[in-house]
Amino acid sequence: MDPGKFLLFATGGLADAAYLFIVAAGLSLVFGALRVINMAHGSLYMVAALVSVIVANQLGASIGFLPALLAAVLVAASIGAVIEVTVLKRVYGHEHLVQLLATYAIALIIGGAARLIFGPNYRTTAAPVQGSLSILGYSYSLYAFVTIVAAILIGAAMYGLLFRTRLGRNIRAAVSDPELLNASGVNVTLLYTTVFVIGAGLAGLGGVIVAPSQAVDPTIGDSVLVLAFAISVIGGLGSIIGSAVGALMVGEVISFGLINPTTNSFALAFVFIVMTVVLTVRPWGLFGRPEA
Amino acid sequence: MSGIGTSLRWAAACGTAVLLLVACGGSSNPGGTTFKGTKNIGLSIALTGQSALYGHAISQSMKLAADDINASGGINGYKINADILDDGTQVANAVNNYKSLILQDNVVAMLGTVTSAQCQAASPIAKQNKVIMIAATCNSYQLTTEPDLINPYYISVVPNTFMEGTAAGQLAAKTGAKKIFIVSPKYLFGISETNAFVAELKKVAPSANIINDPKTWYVPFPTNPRWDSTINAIQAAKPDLVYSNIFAADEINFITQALQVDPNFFQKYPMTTLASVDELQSLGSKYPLGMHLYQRAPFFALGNPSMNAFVTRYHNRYSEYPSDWAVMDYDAMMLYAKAASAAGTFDADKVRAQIVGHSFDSLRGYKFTIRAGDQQANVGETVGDTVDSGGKYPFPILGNSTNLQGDDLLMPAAIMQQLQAGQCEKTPGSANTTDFSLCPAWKNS
Amino acid sequence: MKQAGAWWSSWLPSRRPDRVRWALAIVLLLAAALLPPASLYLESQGLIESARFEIVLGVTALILALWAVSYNLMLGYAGMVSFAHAAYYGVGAYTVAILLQRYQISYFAALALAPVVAAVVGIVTGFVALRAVRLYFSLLTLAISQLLYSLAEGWYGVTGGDNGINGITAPDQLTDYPTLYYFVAAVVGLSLLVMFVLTRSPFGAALKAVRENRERARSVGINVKAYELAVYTIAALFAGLAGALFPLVQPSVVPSMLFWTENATPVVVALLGGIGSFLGPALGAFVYTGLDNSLSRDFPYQLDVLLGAIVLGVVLLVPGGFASAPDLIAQLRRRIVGGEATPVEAETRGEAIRMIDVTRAVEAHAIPTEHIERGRVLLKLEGLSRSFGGLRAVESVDLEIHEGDRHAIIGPNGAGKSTLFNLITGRMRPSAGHVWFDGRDITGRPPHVIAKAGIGRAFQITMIFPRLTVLQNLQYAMLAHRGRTVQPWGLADRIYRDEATELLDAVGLGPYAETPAGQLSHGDQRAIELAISLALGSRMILLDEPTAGMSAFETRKAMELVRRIATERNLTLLFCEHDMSVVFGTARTVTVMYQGRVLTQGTPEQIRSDPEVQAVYLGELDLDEQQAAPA
Repeated sequence: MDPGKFLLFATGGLADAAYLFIVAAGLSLVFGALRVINMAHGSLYMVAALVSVIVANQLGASIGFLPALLAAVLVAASIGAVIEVTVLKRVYGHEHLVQLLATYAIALIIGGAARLIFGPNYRTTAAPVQGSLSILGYSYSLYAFVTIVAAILIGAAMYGLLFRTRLGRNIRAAVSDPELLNASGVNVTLLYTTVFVIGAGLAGLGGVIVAPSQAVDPTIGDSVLVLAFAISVIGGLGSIIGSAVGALMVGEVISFGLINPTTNSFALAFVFIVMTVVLTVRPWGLFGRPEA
Repeated sequence: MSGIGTSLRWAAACGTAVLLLVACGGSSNPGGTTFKGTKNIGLSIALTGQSALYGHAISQSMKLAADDINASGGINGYKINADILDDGTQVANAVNNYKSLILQDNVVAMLGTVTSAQCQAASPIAKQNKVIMIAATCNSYQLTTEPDLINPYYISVVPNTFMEGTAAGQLAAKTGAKKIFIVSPKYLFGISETNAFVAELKKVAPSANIINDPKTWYVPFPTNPRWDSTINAIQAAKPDLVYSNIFAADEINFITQALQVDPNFFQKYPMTTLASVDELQSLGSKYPLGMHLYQRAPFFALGNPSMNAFVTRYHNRYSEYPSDWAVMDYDAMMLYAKAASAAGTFDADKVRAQIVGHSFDSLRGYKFTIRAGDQQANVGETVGDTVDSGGKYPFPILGNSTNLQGDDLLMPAAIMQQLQAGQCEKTPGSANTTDFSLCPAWKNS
Repeated sequence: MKQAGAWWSSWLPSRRPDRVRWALAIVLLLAAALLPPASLYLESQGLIESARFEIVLGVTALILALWAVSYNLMLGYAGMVSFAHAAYYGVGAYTVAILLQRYQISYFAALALAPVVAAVVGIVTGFVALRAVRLYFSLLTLAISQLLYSLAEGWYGVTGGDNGINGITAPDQLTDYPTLYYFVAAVVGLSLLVMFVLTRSPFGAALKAVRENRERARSVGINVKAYELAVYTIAALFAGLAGALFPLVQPSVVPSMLFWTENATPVVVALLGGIGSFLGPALGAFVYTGLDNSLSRDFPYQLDVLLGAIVLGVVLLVPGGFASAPDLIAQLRRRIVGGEATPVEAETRGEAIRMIDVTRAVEAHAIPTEHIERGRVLLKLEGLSRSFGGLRAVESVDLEIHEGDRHAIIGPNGAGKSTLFNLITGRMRPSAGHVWFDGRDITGRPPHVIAKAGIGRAFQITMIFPRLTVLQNLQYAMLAHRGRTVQPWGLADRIYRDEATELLDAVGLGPYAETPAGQLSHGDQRAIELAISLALGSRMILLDEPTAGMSAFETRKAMELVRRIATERNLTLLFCEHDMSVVFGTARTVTVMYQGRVLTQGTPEQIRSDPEVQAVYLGELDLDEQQAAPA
């Protein structure tokens, strides 16, 4: 494979990894700090995508993107806050099944409501950044690079939040040593809500970023949820770096895997093979910690 | 004491549940005073999911057809009710809907579902219960020729994959392309149509080459909505022509993402693809020009008095233009109305006798005949290149379009018979491997 | 991780609601049995549109019931949350489809083969899945489910790929709907019966023990992983059977049946009906089928919202599902009618230990007796060490405990006593060194093996089976320890009942035999701990701070019991304690540990007067001679 081709597919994988990382990071963070498996994560992604498309189309693509982004993330975060305060508060510390069922129920409700409110049809919107680049003889979508840069920035922001702020310190304490956190006088209730809202916001961001590239309808959350789960597990629940590495791996495997005749049939299954191996050998993932 | 009381209460709840279970059965709408009663014609369609794009228009057209039928007195004195259920483009739901519509609502006929996988699953149910099933969307030829799927009550008014693939092959040959890249959804429809395309291409343009490995022709369906990999593979392979039969959401996503990568993508890599008015309408002005399309019933290329009137009525009622599917499903409804009226009854065998071998009017501007053997209508396919509509419509239309004749595209009877006799299968008992190019009649032609 | 007792305790069954539940079960079974003739009658009276359709719905509900009950075998009885169950259902369905369509095998033969295939797939994938525990186990089943799904979707030649396999027809013998219904009802009924017998059997008892407290289950001799694999495979088998029945109502089999989200159906159904009872999920299946049918046609989106709301409601408010209705109604009545709390609701009064009848206890049949050779070395530790990172919790411990000895291990906090106990009982693996018990090397063997070798353990923190009754706690422990839990038939609650009751009476727990152990006060739970360790300790009893949290009176009583039993039953005693009166009153030999090492060893008098020991304990413990009770 010549370098131009290699770069082409590698970048394609990177672009996929970008939005997968953002979504998986949110899921992973929520699990790490709150020990909650959020089955409604995909629904928040979907709602944000829908809202962003609708707002962007109303205002016109060029000036519409930023307000669309803000509106969508705000909506996702708000729904997240409502979920956390009304439902999750009651199921902390209970068996995982309880949380699974509760968040699954919420996913059902949000999905049904979305269909009722927005209708089941597709919507499309234009990308905020149009245009393409040519590198070594192949064309690249400018928007793909924007996506990649956005993911890097968000990753850096997450890192900064977690390691340079007091909030971040508290979140990390929640991940690694919840008992200490309880004893330290921090308002745990507020902290948990904050973390969940951040997670919801990340899900929403993922949805907004992906929306201009594909037809958006109330079903898009389902497939992304499975991948986000797989990535979070592989990278390590609670680890941002883990999500990045996992997303990168999944993105590249799909990008290179689908075009090769030998691996074509199981490129998409590959991620689950890795997930199985990781869970068997090192259940807390590549970068995670054993559950306390 | 409490035991009995609780049991009674629970029994009451149980009884309510049973009533609930039973309450939503059927509709007994007394209707207008001139009608003897109501009969249901059923439709299980994708109102959500991958092919929701189509289902929407189909259900609208069906309702319009029902109203038209009722306006002229119904069928055999009965009012016709369009009984529509959503199946989310999923096979399991389609099957459930068919059971529900046939057993619970006692439909007299069914219109086909969107995907061939669904039709494949639903056809046996219709056959078992002797319900006429008219397909206007799903079109894999296996549905009428595969020994396990042969269903005397299954009628097709849409060009099947053999016909379409052949049309596409001729279209591709006309472009003179030598290096062709194939993208197709990996299920019965995609494989079926691609086989037909490749076979026809070999016949009419033997010097053309398919440049990607057959294993990479097919993408998982319903698919990952990201097409980066395929788009990049096309860039890497640099074909003269891309052939695809991806449709609905997949087609929209593919085109959108390809244009993001390179606004001139389809000038660099011309594309021959299946399309319908739905995709054109959905992308509107974003739909690229110069695409070589093949369509089943685009209204703008088939102008004739009945079509024009239909378009106007449809547009007035629904504020959009009727898709190819809307046109064909309307034809399907009218076909049934005519046949059942001719038979004077709703009995499936008697109605069928009025269908097979008979001719029917079509919005497409000609009469089509349902031939015996595979109950396939000799309907045509429209091919052409997308051009700007000059402001007439909010989407591009086909320029220098040709309406290929159905008779020229129909599968030769000899091949059909051999398929039905099971002489062309790679793996016995599997529709997935029935390939007409394995038929002796094909090899000799 | 917190014990989840609080969440479930509202559906804990007591006697009367149990009777009501049995009545309801009979009503359900009767209703199911009479569905076809009832439908035909209603149709003939014009009350329903189509009997055929109702019967088909009934068949669907029956299949769903089998599927959900098999899922509950894992969920309700063993506490395992699996996402792969739909995959085994799919495997069953595909097996039938492939055999029928490709190889023209008769349906009935295929029906017999399909569960076997599902079981094989189940045991192989279950083995992989059970490499992990709890949450990770669940996630692993998710991955496995997706892999099986990918296989079904991608293996075009065999499974038909995305199209699946279509055109499957029911065998000619079953084209008549009522016949079909009764055939399915027979298969489902038989399967339910088998599963029911299983849940009541000693095997089922072991499952419940695992669900309640895995650690405790291990220490009474249950090889937890083996039992989990067994129930997983059995559940997969019945799921496969349910899937094999599926083609009778639906002529197509598609890969999406194996998608992980399909597991939501049996879970929701089980939850709806109540996972705490055997037939609960079956009830849920009928309700769900009815609901789905009524609403999915006209209100599909509303159905989703409604279903979500129902699940949420059940999870948050009515965790026991419909099957808990009798209990809830009983509770409501009590609240409305007023009146005092019944014994089942209030915590017990913690008087058990005070009521110990030592004589009776010593005579109890439950406590095993084995021939011993006094003076011979029973437990030998050689160079035993265990480190955690840089911390050396136990370092090069050499110890010999003779048969018949009453041996105390004392030392300040952090001396390594608990770690040492864990090393002996297999809860932890040593970093170095050996443990011999009765001449056998048991170093690093798993806890259930060591328990079976004859070491009974009482834990420092109470480890009981909270939702089982006190009697069941003891009975099941005995069942497991004596190797009876491999038996998949018989009534677990009958076996060893008399012996266990005798022992419970003797330790003062008699009045609480039928009370869920979780509702006992802490002191009473210690009594259970004690009883279990006595019943299991056939050679040696390990007591980890047995009198922690007890009053002086209780302490005296408990230790009197332990001493007498050790003497009269020839048991070796090894215990660690902080209460010096207990040590000096009971022990014959004392070993002092300090900072992970053995400091010194000797008789209680020697230790008491050892200046080194005093120095170690300075400021930590009061060696008040007045507290010492005579040996």
